[in-house]
Amino acid sequence: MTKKPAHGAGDDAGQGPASSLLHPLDLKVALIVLAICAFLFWRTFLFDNVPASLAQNVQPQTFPQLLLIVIIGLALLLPFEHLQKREQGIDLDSDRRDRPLPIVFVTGIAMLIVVGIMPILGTLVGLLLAAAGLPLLWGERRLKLLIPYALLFPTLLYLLFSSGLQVNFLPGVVGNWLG
Amino acid sequence: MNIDAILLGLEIILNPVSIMLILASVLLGVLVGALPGLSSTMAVALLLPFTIGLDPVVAIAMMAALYCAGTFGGSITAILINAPGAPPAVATALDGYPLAQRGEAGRALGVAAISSVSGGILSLFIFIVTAPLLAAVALSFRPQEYFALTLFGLSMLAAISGKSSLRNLIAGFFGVMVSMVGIHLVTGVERFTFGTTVLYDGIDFVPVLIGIFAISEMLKQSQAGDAVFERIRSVAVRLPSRDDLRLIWKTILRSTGIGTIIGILPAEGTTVAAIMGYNEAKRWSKHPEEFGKGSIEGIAGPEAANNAGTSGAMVPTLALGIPGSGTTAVILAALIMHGFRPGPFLMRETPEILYAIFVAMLIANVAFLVIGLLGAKVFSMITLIPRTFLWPSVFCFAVVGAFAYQQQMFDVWVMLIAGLIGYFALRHGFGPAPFVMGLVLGELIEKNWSQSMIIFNGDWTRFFDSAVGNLFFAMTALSLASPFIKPMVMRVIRRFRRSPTS
Repeated sequence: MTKKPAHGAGDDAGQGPASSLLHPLDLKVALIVLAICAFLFWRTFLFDNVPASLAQNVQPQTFPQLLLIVIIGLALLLPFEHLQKREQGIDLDSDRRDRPLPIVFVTGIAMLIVVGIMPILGTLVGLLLAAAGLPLLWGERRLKLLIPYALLFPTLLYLLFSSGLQVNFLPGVVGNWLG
Repeated sequence: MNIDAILLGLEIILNPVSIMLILASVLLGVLVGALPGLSSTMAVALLLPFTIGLDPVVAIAMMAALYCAGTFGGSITAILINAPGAPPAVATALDGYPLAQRGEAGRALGVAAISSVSGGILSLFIFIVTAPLLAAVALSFRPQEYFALTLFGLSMLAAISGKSSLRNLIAGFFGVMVSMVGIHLVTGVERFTFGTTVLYDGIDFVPVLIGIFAISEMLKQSQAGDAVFERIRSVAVRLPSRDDLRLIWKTILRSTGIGTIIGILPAEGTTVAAIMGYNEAKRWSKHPEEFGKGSIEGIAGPEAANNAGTSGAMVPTLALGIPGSGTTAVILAALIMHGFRPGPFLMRETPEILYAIFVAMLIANVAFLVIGLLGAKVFSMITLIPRTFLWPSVFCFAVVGAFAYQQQMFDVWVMLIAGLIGYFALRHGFGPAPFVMGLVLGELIEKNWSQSMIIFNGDWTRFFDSAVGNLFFAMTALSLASPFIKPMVMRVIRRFRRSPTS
């Protein structure tokens, strides 16, 4: 979808004037991509050496290095891309003009916690917590709906996989305690 | 024609269990397609772990059926509540909703269903003819030619829908990078394993797919409010009248052709097909002024095209091992997961899969005509499911699915991390579909490059010895340059038009 931008690239997001040659936010994105590429490029030098006779002209680092060079080349164009897109009436900033709301980070952390505790408390308990906790975090307050959902949905899903598809989930302390 | 393969394909699919599973997939597909935010790509990714214990051919057939039905499902909510459940249905809403507002929701749904089914079935016949032919041609390809073809497939990422070709390419190449984690095929050297044994076999794409499609979208949806849609309540579905059919049959045929060709092109998806189908329907219509106000040609065009695109997208996926869209990239991953060798060898080693998929998609097309028409009102109501329950359910599915695949927590972490990175990458325009296509194609492209280098004794100039290879290299260059060439061409055309002497 192409839209005529209300403001130039970079405006409103506090990233500097639209007329600048470099898009400030894309410059940061490009630097992150370049940093990842530099790190991976450095890692390729740490691959084990293979004698030429065994490598058959295909050293393990050659292809990744070629690919990283291509990515680096493309990443260098990123801060200038807004100039071309502005001419086409494409707003590169429309999806990132507003900062992510705190709920995004809260949801992300909650998911990390749920997955983190699964080896300790068990998969089923983790799923029950997710089914109860995530709706609450997202503002669900209808307990008459929430309680049956949080109990039934994860349990049925767990049973479907453990009994139907023979998946051995992590029992955790709760599973061990229940035997 | 391989009669044994056809019979075997039919035998696998035409039994009660397989048909039930395919019908369940159709139902799931229509549901997912109708729900804004949930995509058929995500549904296929979440379905993957469920199919572990199934017959591999049935598993792939289920996914193909879900893909078909999911594409149609989006049109129900597009017509009834002006909320396209899936991106390909965006163009359908332009005329479907105005027609529904005029009290003709049933007619709009009928036209959408008939157009979808016609487009889907007609293009299926093109699929069954072209896929084996394409595979037969591809069988004669040498590694350097296959490398050039795969490179062309990757370069088409530049054209995949999204705002930035550059970001699509970067995402795709990062996908290829991720596919390199683990043991190098030629030398047996560990690459990017960081000394850990869990990365020794590489990063499996199943948890990555689940994370990048489900978790990223969930994080995106976490900040979206509950949308309130104006619902069309009187839905008495009726099939198109003879006059309607007379008006739309040419549009259906044209859009089927467009959709199939767009679908066959690597990396182009059904959304592009639908938009092109709509534009061409308008261009060729005798009443273009009615478009946007409830034209049935405006519904038939995108609907026939997007469903034709699904069969078209299966052609390069099965015949060449190069996905025709984001969803087929996931289906390609499923083929690999189930032990198939996608590409021309698939047709030679397991030809029955082609016919099984053909029959499954045929069943799916007929089934969603019935399910979609009879259950349109119910499907439009599923948007009432609160997102506070819908997305936590998706998370539970994602966790269980990622774990079930290899029964290890490492995959759940991979899924979660892929989802978190995917969310932030998506904010900056790096789409999940290009990344997944790069991830799935990564091994193939490096394998063919390595084989060529061994054959050429390290002389890379010999990549240009083959005429077929050169053709693909030229197409790759053209495809990569297209984002830069297109604006220039447009500028020249605009200047030419403005010039009074011209």
